Amino acid sequence: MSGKHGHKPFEGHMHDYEAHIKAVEEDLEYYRAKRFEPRIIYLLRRGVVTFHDLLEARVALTRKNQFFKPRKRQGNNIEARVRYLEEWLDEYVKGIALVSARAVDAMDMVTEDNRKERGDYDDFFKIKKKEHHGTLEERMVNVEQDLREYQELLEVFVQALIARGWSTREELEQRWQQLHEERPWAGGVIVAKAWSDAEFKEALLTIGREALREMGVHQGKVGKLVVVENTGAVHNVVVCTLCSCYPYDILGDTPWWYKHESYRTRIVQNPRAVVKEMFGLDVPAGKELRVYDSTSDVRYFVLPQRPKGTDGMSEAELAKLVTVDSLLGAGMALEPAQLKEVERTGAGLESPRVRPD
Amino acid sequence: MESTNSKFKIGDPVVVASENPSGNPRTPIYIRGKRGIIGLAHGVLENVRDHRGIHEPLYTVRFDLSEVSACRDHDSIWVDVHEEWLSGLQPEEKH
Repeated sequence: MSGKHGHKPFEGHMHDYEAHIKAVEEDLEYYRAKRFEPRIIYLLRRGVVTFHDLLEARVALTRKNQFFKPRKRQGNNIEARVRYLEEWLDEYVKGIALVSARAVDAMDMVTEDNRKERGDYDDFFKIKKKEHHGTLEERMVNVEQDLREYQELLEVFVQALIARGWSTREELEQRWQQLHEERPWAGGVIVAKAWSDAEFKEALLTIGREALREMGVHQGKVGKLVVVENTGAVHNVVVCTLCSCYPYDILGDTPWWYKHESYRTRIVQNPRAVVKEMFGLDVPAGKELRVYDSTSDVRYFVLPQRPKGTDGMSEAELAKLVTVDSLLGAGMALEPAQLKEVERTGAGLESPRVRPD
Repeated sequence: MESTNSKFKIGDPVVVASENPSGNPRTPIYIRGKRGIIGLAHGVLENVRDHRGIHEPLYTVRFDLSEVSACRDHDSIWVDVHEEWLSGLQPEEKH
């Protein structure tokens, strides 16, 4: 799950179904309880959308006018079913991105308001997340049911935004298409260039976003960027203990474990033990481990060390070795032989190996 | 990046306030009252998408892991803290 984007459906052979489902469960509840429902409540509070708008939109909803098209499953084997849930989750997350942009445009809204109202600073305000227990089969059935329910609310919310005139169907459709445009894996492109071009690397480490602007990487304005370099003496790890700040405008979707409370709490208490336990990463005794806690306006990622056996490789080849985990200090960039193994078996993509509960 | 009107410079020893001085909530509880060293100085950062108004200059403060947790490994935790949360220390007060 961590090869490219946080919840991007994995395209190779699957290795550990339970890990995939766990990741879907975690991400689904995160996006519902932290990203989507707090935003509805925020807009309800301010009269941008009312409960009655939602009810009316539900009544007016038909197969014809629905915005999100129903999904079809390809096959009935377990792999097809897992993939189906992952793809559905991906659409749900994109749907939240779609309506979030409209909500921001519709009014003077800042992230900090949202953090307060969704309980980042006070558990009292937190929306309860659902937990799933039971066999893998039972959990898959439950997740599918949840997705259906959550998707329906999203659909109704889109309809209400249109009905209230906060957006038009055309505008939303255009943005929906943009959200589906494939972009190259920026993390890989950036790191491969830094490994190959000393001047760029220097710029990346000192001026961050400016260096990316010069190389034409797509980026937004999510805080100042600081890139920290892993060396023979220092291993860097990134966290946001207050919420889950992440340079998503550059790196794409956040991996699910990065948002998990267990990781966020424990990595600043006992980092060596946590990276070993969660990611199977042994940081040698002589190496300093530095944890960067992005509590404010800075977003961090790690420049991993260039793996052995990569002399003479092109930037395009090098980019494939760069995993999301390696950009957060939760792993190393892959060696070429490891990449082959990952592509062959799918093993190692379902980090963390030991799942926090 | 270092702004001229920032109060501290890289290497300065500082202590984090125990109580929230101004209602700015972006300083986590585990570093409140703890001592560290200025690791990076960012100056005043405008981030209008994130919060209203402009915060004081921002620093990344380096804490020994053992200062903020019971763990004795010789590792470090680097946390972003705004100036209003920080007071200077004499170098010998560090330990």
